[in-house]
Amino acid sequence: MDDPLHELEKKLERLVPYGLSDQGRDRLEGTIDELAAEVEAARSPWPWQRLSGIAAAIAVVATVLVVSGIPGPGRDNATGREAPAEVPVADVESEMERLEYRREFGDPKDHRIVVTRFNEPMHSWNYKVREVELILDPVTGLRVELVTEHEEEVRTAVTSF
Amino acid sequence: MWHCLYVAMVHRANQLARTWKDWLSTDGGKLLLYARQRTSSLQDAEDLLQDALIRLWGYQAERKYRPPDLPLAYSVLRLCAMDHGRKTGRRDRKHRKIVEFHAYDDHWLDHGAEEGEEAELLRDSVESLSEKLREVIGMKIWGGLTFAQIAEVLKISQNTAASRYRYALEQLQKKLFYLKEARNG
Repeated sequence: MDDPLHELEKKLERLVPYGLSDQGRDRLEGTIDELAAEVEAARSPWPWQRLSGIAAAIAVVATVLVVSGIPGPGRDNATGREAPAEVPVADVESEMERLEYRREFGDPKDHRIVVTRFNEPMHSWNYKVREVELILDPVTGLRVELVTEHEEEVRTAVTSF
Repeated sequence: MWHCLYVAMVHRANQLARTWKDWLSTDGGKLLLYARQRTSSLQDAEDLLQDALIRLWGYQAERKYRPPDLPLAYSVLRLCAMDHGRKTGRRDRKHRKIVEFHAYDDHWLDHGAEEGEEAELLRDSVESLSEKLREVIGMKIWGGLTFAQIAEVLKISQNTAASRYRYALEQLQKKLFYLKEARNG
């Protein structure tokens, strides 16, 4: 090959192809993991379904043992006395009763067309959203109205200009 | 015993996945470059690579799921690109116009060790070559394939592969010359 073309080859070799994006790499590696797992599952003398079933059965048996009070982690096996139960932290939210919930939307505004590097153009609107929740405290009988406001963005594909 | 079987199975799956991930680290960039040449965006290129990976996995079943060699990977990627092209058709051409207008800095190649204006011009010149010439340049320079391997992938003769390569270099040289003249006025 001529010297000038050879020089050009050397210059080209110094350009480096961009690699996969982080998301792209994660997706490909995730696919590889799934494919490899399927291959091993197909080779195994024990079908995955049976193994999953066995694992699930073991979990069920363990749960039954704990619930029925048969000697387990919560019981002092040496003396047979029941270990003191931990006092659960009061779950405030679960004691409140939700009477009503609604979302109110404002008028769409700030329409624009968003063009990004790797995606198709999209129409974009902002909406003001108001969430109103009416809850009842069963202890005091008080009703409390919780109001939160925020903005949401909605995008739809551009189909024509 | 079941636990031991399960652990052994997971270990083998991890080993198998590891060999393919290593292959992806080594050859993924080269294949992605080819995919970028055949699509209009990085996202489409990665989708193409994903499709090719799944097909390659199926082909390699007969070879104990060894990672594929590069010529086979290029061949399968090329087939996937042709399918992709048929599906997207005219919508893709319109989409490409918009992307090119707004994403003018969306390149496939980095300057790497090469700095300066010439590297940028060279990169632009490569990206503006016709598809047939870009394919050969990409496989030879960055894929490291021989002309025999390129001929096998593209289903052409070895002489045609070599001729296209030489012609591509000559075209690049001309483009570089004209672009430099245009910039310098």
